[in-house]
Amino acid sequence: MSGSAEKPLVSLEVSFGAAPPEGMVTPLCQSLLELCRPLLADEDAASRLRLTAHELLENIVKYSAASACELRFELHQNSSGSLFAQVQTSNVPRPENRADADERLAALSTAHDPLQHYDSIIADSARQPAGSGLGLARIHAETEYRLSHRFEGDALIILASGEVWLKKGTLP
Amino acid sequence: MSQTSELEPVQGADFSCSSRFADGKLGVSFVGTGDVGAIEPLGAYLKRVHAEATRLGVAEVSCDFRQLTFMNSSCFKAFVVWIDTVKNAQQSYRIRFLTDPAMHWQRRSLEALRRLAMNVVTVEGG
Repeated sequence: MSGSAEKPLVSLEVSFGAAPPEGMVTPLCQSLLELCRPLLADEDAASRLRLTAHELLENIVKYSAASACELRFELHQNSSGSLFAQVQTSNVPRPENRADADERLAALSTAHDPLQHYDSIIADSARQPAGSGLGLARIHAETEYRLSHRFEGDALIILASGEVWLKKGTLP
Repeated sequence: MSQTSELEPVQGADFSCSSRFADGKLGVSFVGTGDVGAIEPLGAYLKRVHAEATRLGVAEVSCDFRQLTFMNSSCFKAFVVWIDTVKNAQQSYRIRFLTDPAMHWQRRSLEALRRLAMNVVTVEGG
């Protein structure tokens, strides 16, 4: 996922035979957080990671067709020494949601002003019943994780990546 | 004759909200985790809060988030809908959020709600 030959400091991969049940999202995100909390420098980093993982997982729950899904997490160090957390989901969206997801994700990554874009999505969502893209926009604007996406066949891969800081003394 | 509030609390396994009305002020407290199980009860509760705030004619509703550990985007949206309703209501009131600075998501999410309606929303404690 990181594209680096370096072994990640932490990695977690969870596969589901079908879209995970709604009730699994919070416990899974809490487990991920507990796994990483001893390493993360502060609660802000933990909070950003939790929001990112939660919103991506809920997207899978809401919009998956009945097929396998996957959550992957890595914490790794790049060649310049910076540390990055990456959360990646893979699922097959329902055909009727595919174009909309592509459009919303592309709009997020090309938004000239992410905050203004977020505010506009929030305002629109007030009168939209569902599927406003608020969760993805929230990741983009509130966590500073960068979102990218691609399709592999029918599967939509969404990657959220953000820089984190580790507690002193947690690395050799 | 003094007025009383008739808001029924929401009591779930991981999420609850309750209100108090005293000295002409309506306060609502949110506790726990606002995830998928909280979406419907929260949306319905905020509609009742709006009806009650309007009935009581309060100038402000305070929302205590200090024991709310997380809120997903669907619960966040329930607040967006409520604030949008208040912003466009003939009989409006202010909404004041009380936050815990140690819960960093609160500052970021509530700041976005404040930008949605700066004349309606204030955020304290962040």
